[in-house]
Amino acid sequence: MRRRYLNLDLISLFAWLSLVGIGILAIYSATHGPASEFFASDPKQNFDNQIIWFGISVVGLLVALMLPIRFFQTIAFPVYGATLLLLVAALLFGREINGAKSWLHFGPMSLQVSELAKVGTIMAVAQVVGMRRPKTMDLKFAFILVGIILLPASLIVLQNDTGTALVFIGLIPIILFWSGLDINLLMLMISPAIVGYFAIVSLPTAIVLTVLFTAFMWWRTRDRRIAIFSGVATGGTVAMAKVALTVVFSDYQVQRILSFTNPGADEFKANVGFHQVNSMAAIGSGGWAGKGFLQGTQTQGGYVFEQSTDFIFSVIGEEWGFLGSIVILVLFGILMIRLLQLGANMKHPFGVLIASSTAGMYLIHIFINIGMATSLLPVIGIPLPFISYGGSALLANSALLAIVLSLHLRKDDFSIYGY
Amino acid sequence: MELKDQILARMYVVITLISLLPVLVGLQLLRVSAIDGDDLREIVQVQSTELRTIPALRGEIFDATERPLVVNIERVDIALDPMEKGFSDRETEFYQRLSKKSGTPVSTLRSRVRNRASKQYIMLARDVTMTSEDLRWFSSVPGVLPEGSTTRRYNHGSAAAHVLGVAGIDAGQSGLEFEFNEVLRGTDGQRVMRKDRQNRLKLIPGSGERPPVHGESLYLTIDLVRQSILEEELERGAIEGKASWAAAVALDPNTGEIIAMANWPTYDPNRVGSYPMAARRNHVVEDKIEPGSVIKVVPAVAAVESGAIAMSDSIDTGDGTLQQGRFTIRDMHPNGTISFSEVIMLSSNVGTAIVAEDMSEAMMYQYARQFGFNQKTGIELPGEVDTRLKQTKMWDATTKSAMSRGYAIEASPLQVALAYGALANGGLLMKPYIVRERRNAEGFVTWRAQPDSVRRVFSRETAATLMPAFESVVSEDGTAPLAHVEGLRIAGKTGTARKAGPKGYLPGKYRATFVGFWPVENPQVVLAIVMDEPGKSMYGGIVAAPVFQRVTERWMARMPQLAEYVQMDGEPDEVNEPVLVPDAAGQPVPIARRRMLASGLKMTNAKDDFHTAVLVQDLSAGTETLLSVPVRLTAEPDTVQTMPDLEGLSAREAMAWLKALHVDVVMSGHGTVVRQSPEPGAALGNSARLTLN
Repeated sequence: MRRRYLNLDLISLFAWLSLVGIGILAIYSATHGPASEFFASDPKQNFDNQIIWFGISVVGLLVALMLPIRFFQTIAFPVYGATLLLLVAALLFGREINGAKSWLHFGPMSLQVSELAKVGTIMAVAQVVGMRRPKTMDLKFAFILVGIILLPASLIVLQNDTGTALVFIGLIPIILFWSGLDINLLMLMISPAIVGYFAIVSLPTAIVLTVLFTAFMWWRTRDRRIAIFSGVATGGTVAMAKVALTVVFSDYQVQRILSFTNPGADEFKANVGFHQVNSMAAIGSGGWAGKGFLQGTQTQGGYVFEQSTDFIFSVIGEEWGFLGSIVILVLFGILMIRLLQLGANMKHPFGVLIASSTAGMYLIHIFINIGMATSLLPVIGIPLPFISYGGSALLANSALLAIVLSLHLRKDDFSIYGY
Repeated sequence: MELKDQILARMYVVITLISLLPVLVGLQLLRVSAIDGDDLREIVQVQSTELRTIPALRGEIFDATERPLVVNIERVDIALDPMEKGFSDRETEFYQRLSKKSGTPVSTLRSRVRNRASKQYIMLARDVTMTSEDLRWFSSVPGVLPEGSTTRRYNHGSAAAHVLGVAGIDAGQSGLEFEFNEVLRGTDGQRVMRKDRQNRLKLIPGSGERPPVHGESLYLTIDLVRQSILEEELERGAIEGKASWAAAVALDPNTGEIIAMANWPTYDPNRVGSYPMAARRNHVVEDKIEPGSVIKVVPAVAAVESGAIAMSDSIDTGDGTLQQGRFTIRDMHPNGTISFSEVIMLSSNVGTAIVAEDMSEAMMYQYARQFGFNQKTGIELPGEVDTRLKQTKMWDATTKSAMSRGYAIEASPLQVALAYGALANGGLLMKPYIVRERRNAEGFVTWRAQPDSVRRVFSRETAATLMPAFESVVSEDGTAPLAHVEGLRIAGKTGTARKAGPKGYLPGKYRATFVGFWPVENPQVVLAIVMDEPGKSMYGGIVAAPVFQRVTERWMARMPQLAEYVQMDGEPDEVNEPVLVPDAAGQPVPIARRRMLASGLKMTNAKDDFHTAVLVQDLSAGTETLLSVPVRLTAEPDTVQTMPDLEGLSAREAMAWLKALHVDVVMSGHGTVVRQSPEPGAALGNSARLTLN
């Protein structure tokens, strides 16, 4: 027993506690500072609620630490199934919040089931890969994995919560790569996404990247078909993006998509770019050390949109400055790298996959969220893990961490299953 | 490759990737913070902060006894941040004061604050009128944000209007308001306020606001009561003398303090727009006029000081005419051979010309210059006229002689007063001043006037030698017996000068002057009166001297320090003087009251009702009574409605009653009623015609 405690990873636990702590302070600033006069009573409850959810998460984590590896493996599919059912239930009976029908209410508690679905999905994928034992990756297996991910993702799209669905899509290359997909195939998968992004931001860069990717594929595989496929896929994406922006989408949609590239431009700053301009203004005006707790003029003046949830990062950027932002990035970095190390230590596909998928999912969230706040990306409404207000998200993210920690605590038990 | 290694290898790839994205995000952060930082800070600055000026309060103006002459009336909106540190300490007093000023009960104010929508801001009261002092207090309470506009109020209407001047929105336009604009205005402060998305403002705790430096207040040497008396008497004298304008200035010859300064016609600075520009002119300092005979103090001093003549020396003025070049100099009456004293007493032009003959041009010029007729007095009022003496080399043969009689030389009434101030104080030309001290908003004196002499013009002995001659001017035999005040020794000089137009002297147009001082034993007051184009008489001794006399009589009563210089035989006349009771029977009460008042009597027991008439008066008409005894009137509703006798009443007095009874009045002329139609006692019709003189 004593030996097991030694395996409890204090570093990631510390990072987790720090991030949640910072998050709670930031939520307090966003909802209980002078800005609070802008809100009805609802957002003021966010702070109290977050503390309650933090309490629940701590209890959950302690419980998880006491559970054996076998338990997680056993419940992986049932959990996945249950979350699917919840998604369907939300679709049928859910309440719509901010246009997304992804909430289920149980008495005073409301759950964003799409967040819980992440846990179920990751566990299910890990279990599938873990059961399969080391074999080379084949396409059929890959399709199964993708299917496991796409099923909840499409339900979430139906709920009109594209942002969260995007996280699931983002998980696909990470999980495939981790379960042994050829790096070239992986490149082939993600290159259209990267090129598509640049097609919006900067067309010349997109074209250069198209050429580079195609050349890279040729260099890696010396396979003409793959190189041509790569060229067609990436070039096609660029062309499609252009066509979509000029022909398919309405002006308003185009503006929304384009606005992030320069939200301060005259045609955007008063409407579609307003939130991003003010978010950037908050972060930028924070300077190196920030304006101080409860002192942010943007935050407390109510200029920042959704400042306790999606745009919480601008609160931190403004009040705690560049240093505060970097501290958060460093903490996230420590957590993610530590998770990967823990995964590697476990030496079992189940553990490795859960740990790495968890880290990957955090990464997607962090990148999209901060990218949105700093207008690196368009506004995609997903929370910053552990920091944004949101009980379900906090619980889901903490649960994944708890599972990884619990598995790592008993990592020697994996040897029972052998390698 | 071993599976374990394969996993490790992938691990590193993923770690690289995973650290790549945060680095990307970090770089973007750096870009936002460092490169775009300035622009973004600018956005924040513009949209979330607002600079508010905290207006400095304009200083106020007080008279010599610290009666407020000019005050600020503030119309203020009071906003409050009740969360501000320090507010709670002064909360109770704040609510009480605000309640008093705004008329809103304390409980209402408190409940407004309690139920405010915003945590840190509430507009508590709008358009509250208060004084600067109150505003200063409210500004000093933490969390209170007063904002509003200031208007200037001239408490006593036209009193000292020409001295005080007028201030516009934030700049003085005339008078002291203009001259001391910088001092009065102070320096505005500035406060940085936070503006939220709904454009609501709040204080930034601990932001270093720059407090305003409030304007300093002026404490004048002018005495409101004496000023008012002078204005009243000047107006009366000007109307009686039918002058086109009149000006008067009084000063203390020992210090140069201006005691009063008046002009007629005058204006009300509170409603400056409704007066013609001419009414706003301060003739005392802004006009240069040829002073006429009052200048004779200059040749007299020169002659006596140089020893050229003694007061008793005889001068043959012949038949009162003297031919000098093209000009014939005339006296009022032929005086024959008279002493130099009598030359002054009678203001003999011929005598003065003969005395001046013995003086060099340089000497005349030098003394005129010494008396300050070649320089500004330095009074702290705008627009002071710059008088210049002609250099002697520019003089022609008659200049010296003309100058000795007050022509070919120009002076403002103030300069004339100062010249006689020198005679009064024993030879010192004083620097006049009107601001005794300045005080800052905290009440500390920041500047205090020091009496200062410009130079010694002549010796004390010369002054003593000349004094009896100038005293004799105010005697039965002199030119100004009308300036005489029983029991008080007064010295002075009359002046009458032809008025110059653009092309030579205007026929029949004069300026009449009297300047004098008292008591001769220890002069306290120099008073100069100038009347322009008096219609009644061209002589200063007739139109200006009576004003001097009445002002002196009324001022004396207010100057207990004069007691030792006033020699009265028995009680003053005024009190015992019997008065004839006018006939008020049948008169409407308001008219009866004015008749009684005009006779100096008080009346009782009758309300000033336009529809009542006097039935009985307890003292019958024509009886002699004393001023202190009131006349008891019994009145009843006026059913007869006959035309009362309006003769001798002012137009306004007559009109008030007729208008109240809806009688249309046609008036011709100005002044008092001399003829009326219908006749007194006739039935009252729908219209009446009044002829005024």
